[in-house]
Amino acid sequence: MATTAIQTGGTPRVDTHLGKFAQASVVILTALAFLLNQPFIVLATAIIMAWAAIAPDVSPFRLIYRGIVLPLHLWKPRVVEDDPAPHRFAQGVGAAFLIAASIVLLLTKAYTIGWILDLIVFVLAGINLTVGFCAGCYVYYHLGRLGLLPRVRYQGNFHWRGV
Amino acid sequence: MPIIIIRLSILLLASLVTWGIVWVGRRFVERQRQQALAAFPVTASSDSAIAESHGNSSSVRILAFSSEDCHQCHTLQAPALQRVQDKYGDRVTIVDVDAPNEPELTRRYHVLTVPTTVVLDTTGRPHAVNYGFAPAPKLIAQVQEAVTRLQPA
Repeated sequence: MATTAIQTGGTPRVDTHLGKFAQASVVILTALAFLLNQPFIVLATAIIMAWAAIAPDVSPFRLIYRGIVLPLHLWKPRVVEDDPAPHRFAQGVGAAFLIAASIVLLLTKAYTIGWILDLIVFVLAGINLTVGFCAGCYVYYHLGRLGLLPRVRYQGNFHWRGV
Repeated sequence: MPIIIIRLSILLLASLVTWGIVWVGRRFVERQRQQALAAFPVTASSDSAIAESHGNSSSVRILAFSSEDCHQCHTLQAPALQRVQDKYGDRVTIVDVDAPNEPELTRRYHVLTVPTTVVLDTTGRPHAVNYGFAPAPKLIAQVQEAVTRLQPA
């Protein structure tokens, strides 16, 4: 779920620690929302994730990471060769799930469905945070392969970090 | 029982089940990799795709499995391999393998996805198998290991 591309020498690069920070935030927020039974936290997370997908340069994740995490030396950037587009798409998918969850939780009585959607995002963000498998990126590559995504920069396959 | 305890239990259960699935997946990939690393050393004469590469036979070889429709191979893996080639010159030979047309090689190295890169040491024995995109620094470290491992101390 890293966001902005850092272009040097043609190969797209991504700061994975920014991605990890965003994933950790999503894991904590979705878990807290479920534990405390607070649909408004789901809505807030949905808005932040949608923001990160639409305008990654000014997303709250990035602003907090750049403004607090890096200056306090809590974490150093870790820039690797990667394409930011699938990660951005993945954040959009997460946002879509959480927007659906918010609508269900706030406007209907089907609480179970709402919380299942919230927990799906919790689990997928957790997998990306811990093992580096990005489910949204996987969908992105396969949609590209099927020709359903018009602006595909590359199609390939998922990769497991460290495997 | 307070509702928060029930919710905490559901959260922990979901995490535990996910961790279990991930563990099984990683074990599967690791086993495939171990089998790939145990593959017989290749000799230039025994393999068409590898023999076709006019490389120095005493060099470290990197088999780069890709396919035509794998853009990650072309946009990320190919430039990374080029950087390895630039660093080592003729001490490293990069062999492009078109995975769909080389079933024998993909079976031997248990290729699960493209891109996959297999680093062969100078004797043709597999030294490292990377499933998915392998960045240039990782490949360079593996090539270095493959070279130093065979040098007499």
